[in-house]
Amino acid sequence: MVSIYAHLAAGKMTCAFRALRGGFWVFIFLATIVSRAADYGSQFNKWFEVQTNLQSWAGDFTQTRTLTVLNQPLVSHGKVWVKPGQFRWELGQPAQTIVLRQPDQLLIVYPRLKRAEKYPLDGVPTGPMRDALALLDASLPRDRAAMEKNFQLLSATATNATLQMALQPRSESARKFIGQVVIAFHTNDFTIAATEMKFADGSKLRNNFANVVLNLPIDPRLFATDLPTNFTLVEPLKK
Amino acid sequence: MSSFLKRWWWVLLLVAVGLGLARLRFDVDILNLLPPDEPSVQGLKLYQRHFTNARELVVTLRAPDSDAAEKLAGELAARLRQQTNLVEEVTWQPPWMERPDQLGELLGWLWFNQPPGDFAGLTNRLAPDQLKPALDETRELLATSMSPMDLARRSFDPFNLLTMPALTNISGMSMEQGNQMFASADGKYRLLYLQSAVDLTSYRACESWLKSIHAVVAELQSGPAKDPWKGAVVRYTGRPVFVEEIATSMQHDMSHSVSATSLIIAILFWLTHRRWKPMLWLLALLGLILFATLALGALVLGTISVVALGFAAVLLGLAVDYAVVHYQEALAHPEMTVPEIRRAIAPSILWAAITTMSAFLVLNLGGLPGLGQLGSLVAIGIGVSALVMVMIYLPPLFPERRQPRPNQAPFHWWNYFIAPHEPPVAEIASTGTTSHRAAVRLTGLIFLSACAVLCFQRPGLDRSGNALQPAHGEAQTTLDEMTVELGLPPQPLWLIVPGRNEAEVYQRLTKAEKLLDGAVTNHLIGHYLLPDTLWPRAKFQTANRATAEALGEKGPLLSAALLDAGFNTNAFVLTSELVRTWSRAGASTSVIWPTNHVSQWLLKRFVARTPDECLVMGLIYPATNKVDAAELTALSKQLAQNHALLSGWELLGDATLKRVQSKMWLVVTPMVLLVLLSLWFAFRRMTEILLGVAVLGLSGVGLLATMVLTGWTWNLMNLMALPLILGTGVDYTLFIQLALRRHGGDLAAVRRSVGRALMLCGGTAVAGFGSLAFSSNLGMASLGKVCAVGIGANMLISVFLLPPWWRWFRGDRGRGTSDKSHGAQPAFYCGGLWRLGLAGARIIPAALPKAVAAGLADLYWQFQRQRCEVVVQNFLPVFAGNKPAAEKAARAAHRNFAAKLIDLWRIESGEVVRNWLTTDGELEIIHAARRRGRGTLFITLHLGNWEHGGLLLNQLGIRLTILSQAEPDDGLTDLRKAARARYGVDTLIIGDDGFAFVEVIKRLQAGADMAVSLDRPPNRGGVPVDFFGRQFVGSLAAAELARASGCALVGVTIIRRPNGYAVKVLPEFVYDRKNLGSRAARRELTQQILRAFEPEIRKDIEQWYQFTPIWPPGK
Repeated sequence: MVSIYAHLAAGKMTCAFRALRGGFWVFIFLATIVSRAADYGSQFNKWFEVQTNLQSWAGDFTQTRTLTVLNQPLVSHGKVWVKPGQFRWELGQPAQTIVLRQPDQLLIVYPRLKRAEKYPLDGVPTGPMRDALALLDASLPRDRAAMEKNFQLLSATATNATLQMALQPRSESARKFIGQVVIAFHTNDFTIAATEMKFADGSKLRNNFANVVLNLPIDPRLFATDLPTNFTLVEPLKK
Repeated sequence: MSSFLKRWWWVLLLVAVGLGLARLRFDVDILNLLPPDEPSVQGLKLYQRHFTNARELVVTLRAPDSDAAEKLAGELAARLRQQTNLVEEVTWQPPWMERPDQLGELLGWLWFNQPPGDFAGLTNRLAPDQLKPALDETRELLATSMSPMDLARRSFDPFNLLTMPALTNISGMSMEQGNQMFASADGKYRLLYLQSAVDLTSYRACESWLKSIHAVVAELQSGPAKDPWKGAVVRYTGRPVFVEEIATSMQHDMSHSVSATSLIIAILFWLTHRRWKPMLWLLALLGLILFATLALGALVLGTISVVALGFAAVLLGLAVDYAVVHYQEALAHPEMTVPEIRRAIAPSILWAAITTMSAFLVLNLGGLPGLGQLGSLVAIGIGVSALVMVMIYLPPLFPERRQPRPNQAPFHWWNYFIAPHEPPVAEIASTGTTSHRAAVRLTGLIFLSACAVLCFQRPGLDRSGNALQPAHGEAQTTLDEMTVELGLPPQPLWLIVPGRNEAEVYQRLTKAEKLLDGAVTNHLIGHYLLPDTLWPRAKFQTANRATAEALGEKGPLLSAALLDAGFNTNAFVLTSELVRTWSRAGASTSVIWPTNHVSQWLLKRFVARTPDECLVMGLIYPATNKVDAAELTALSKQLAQNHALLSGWELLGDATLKRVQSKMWLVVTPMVLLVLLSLWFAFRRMTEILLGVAVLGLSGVGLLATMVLTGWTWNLMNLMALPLILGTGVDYTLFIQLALRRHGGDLAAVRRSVGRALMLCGGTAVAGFGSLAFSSNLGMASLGKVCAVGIGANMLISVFLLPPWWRWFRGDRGRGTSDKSHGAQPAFYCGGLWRLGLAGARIIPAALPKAVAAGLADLYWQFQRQRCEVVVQNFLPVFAGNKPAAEKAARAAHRNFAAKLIDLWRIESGEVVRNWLTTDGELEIIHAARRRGRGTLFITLHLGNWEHGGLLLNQLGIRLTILSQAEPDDGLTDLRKAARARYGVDTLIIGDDGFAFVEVIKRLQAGADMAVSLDRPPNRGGVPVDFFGRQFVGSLAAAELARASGCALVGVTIIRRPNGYAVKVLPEFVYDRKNLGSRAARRELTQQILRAFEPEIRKDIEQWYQFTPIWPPGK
């Protein structure tokens, strides 16, 4: 049961987003870099080609959460394994949170709490939750056309051997939740370098990837959704 | 009545109309039409009063995509918020989205309502040493959780204060549910809730306010930023729109129905008569009647329901009848003056009006206040119509016939109620047997066809409340669209739980929950939502007050702990609001409620409070898509016993219909009695009464068959057609049969005058009601259709079939009964009533029945003037033609006869009379006559208590034999014979039997004592004598018996005095038996006898009971 907490989240996001939207400078800035983005289109396409041909990839990451209620960012480390249509995130060492993406569902497991949340991906109503799930996918995009259906390329910035692409959700309701998504990849081997989500309230969530390896076999058990029997499974979206 | 008084009556009427107009108010609330004590009605009323905001307008907006819908909704909200003179508040997204901090108060209040143990646990959680671990855990969660909800919540609730048992069950506050109130799942359809800044107490106010809102929206849509509005659709619903729509559609229905009916009246009148003046005058009077009825209705009823305004169509159809019948009669009889026409027609109109009025007034017994009000309004209107049409319609049209003839008898108000003495139908006009046969065949065909249809199927009964609801207008269509778009479950029922205070409501709510649990288990209902967890618990609040006070002081401590843990002030917003709420709760002395905007917005969806009442509303979802009201009846009753009212439109129809069905006998019984009574007063002939009933019966089966064939059903509204159809049926049968009497059964003449008028009346009524078929209110439409068919059937049967029926029956027996009509004994002179009288006399003390009987005699005098006129005519010669004196005596005679009847019943039931007022000298006359041994014939009159003579003689040791005619009823003859025998009096029925007379002679010759009365003309063999200076056909019975037997002839009268019965014995009539051989001598003896009685009659004429004509006709 999704409860009143969700309203707090949605409400806060809405307020923050309105403030952000009110800033005219954002539009000026974005308009400027969009014109330059075309220069990096070929590299971006190349990156997508690599993604398309990828059988799998895995790596370590450092997640930095910059929240508006905290004076300092929160940093944690984790691992990620990705296959087409599936991924596994482990956050914290030992893992505090595991996110398992299956073609039809998303499972968030909290080992310490012995609790799991299941989100069916085909029955999510339109709204912030659906947008959030779409953005999780977007942070690991594999198809430019599919991505551009939901996102607009705002800017592309090259620094050293890294190309950083800023994307904005096309849906206004999604923008109320996440204002911008940033994807950075290495231009030499087209492996992912970083992803970042800027939330409407000013919070940020950035993943910096390291030790990324491509097309190595991944143990299928990593994507298994079997839960220990003493875990509680809830479906927050189920009425 | 003097012209002064007449004028004052009109002035009084005008004053009443003026006062009524001042009181006139319209009520658009359909629920006020329904029984107020019905739980579903009570529930709906409470729901509408407390939970549907009378000032809340719902604006729906559909756009091509969700972004556009959201953007436009925001713009529209902003524009409407600028209209502060129109709009107090606009809500277009969940209020907590705009002010999430305000949720803190609600959440703090919810904690305050928790069981004391749970609430006290908070003090431990917020103890100083527990704060750092709690905040560390929050930081860990914020660093590692992937749940957006957790991230959002714990950012603003670092102390995890929002975790409480109650909240997990508050589905009404879930995000989906909250958003569901404002947008569809795809986001393309959005809702804005507008709170009016002005009071919308009347439908005019609603109309004006909505116009202003429409203008604001239209301005925005056509303004500089109009492009985004292309493809966007804005619609409106909510109570103001419903009120405006219902009232406007009713107004529309009324004006259209009235206009259409008036137009049809005008056209038909013109086609029939080709005269402008009567047509325009008729229309003007109809307008006046409608206006006056509305005003008088308001004077009597106060507020008038808009549904009751449907009276106009009903009234027009009836009022026009009275005018047209009058006018047609005036045309058919150009020799008659207006007063004469009025005299001839008014009784039928007034009795018809009284019947119809009564039938409509009876609707007040049906248990539906709305229909009762409609009935009352129609009844008032019919009264006004009858008065106006009888008194006003004709004079301006026939100015030369306005004045009465100089020699015309004075005309009293009661003459309007008494049909004039019609000459007996000497001969039924020659009749073609072909028309009889055709009528019989047609009657049979209609009856059998209708019965055949009804054998297979009968009209159904619509148990839903659809008849009460307006047809689908913009408001309902929008509401239906909203239900679909927002994915709301269809047709939820409401459970309204009222109580004097929070504790009482909670107690009832808990009990209701148990009942509902059982209902869910039994699959009576699907599921239910009761906001019991959100209802304040008075006991818990009292127990939690100290804890709240302590928690309310923790603000600085919690704030400092947060800052120490690396949080900033943003994280404290919600916590500080919670702490503030606890602080307020700690300082409270009674039950507290949250007060801020968000809390109020949420709570008012299911909570309502007044200074002396609290209410809570829950939602009940049926087990299937369709509510089975019958199955929920038991549950509704159980809940109602616990003061929880289960309600909803689906239940309303069934419950109301059950009420109507249970009270149907209260309506139908008096209605049938009224119809029969009215027919009786109008006709006083069984044949004609039965013919009237036959018209109603045939029309009824015809209507039912038509309903089956067309698929119509009975519903709450069209049941009201029954009195109307009965009323018009009675009207038409009255008009036709009385016209048949007037015209001696001349069908052509009747059809030319009244028949033509009724065709016009019926045609207009059918057209008027037919126009209601297009009403926007389903009930009114069905009422219109049923009435049109029913009245049409009444008209056609009355005009085309009733006359042949009438002739068929009257052709055989009509003449005989007509001739005797005024000479016959009253109908109540029958065995049954006599037995009842005897039984009553045995039980009840004399004074009471005498008083009642005197009252009844007065009523009889008022309402049976034709019969009473017979007595007056009988008395006139006694008063030398002085009619007022004769009338006075006749009236007194009626009262005295009532007392005499009681006396007689008492004697026949065995009471012994001893208070004789007589003298020995008078009794000696009797003894002297008997001593001769030739028999004694006591001659008496219908004067005083003549029957007591037998008892008196019995006490004197004389056994009397009364010579009598047979009573009208064989049973009565036997009854009276046996009663007389009990007090020693024999009866010999003579009649026309010649042998009986021989028996009398034999007995007299044997010395018997017999009695005979002589003051009524015999059927045959009478002789002309002088009686009170006028020729009288006297009976030769006494003289013949004297001649044959030589008996003594003794005249006796027994008059009732206050202190006893005065016995007067006249001197014996002496005669010469030999002379009696000639008829002239016998006539002379008869004359002598009657003359001897004249002074006795004059002295006590008020006890001379002559109820049949005694004087020869034509003198």
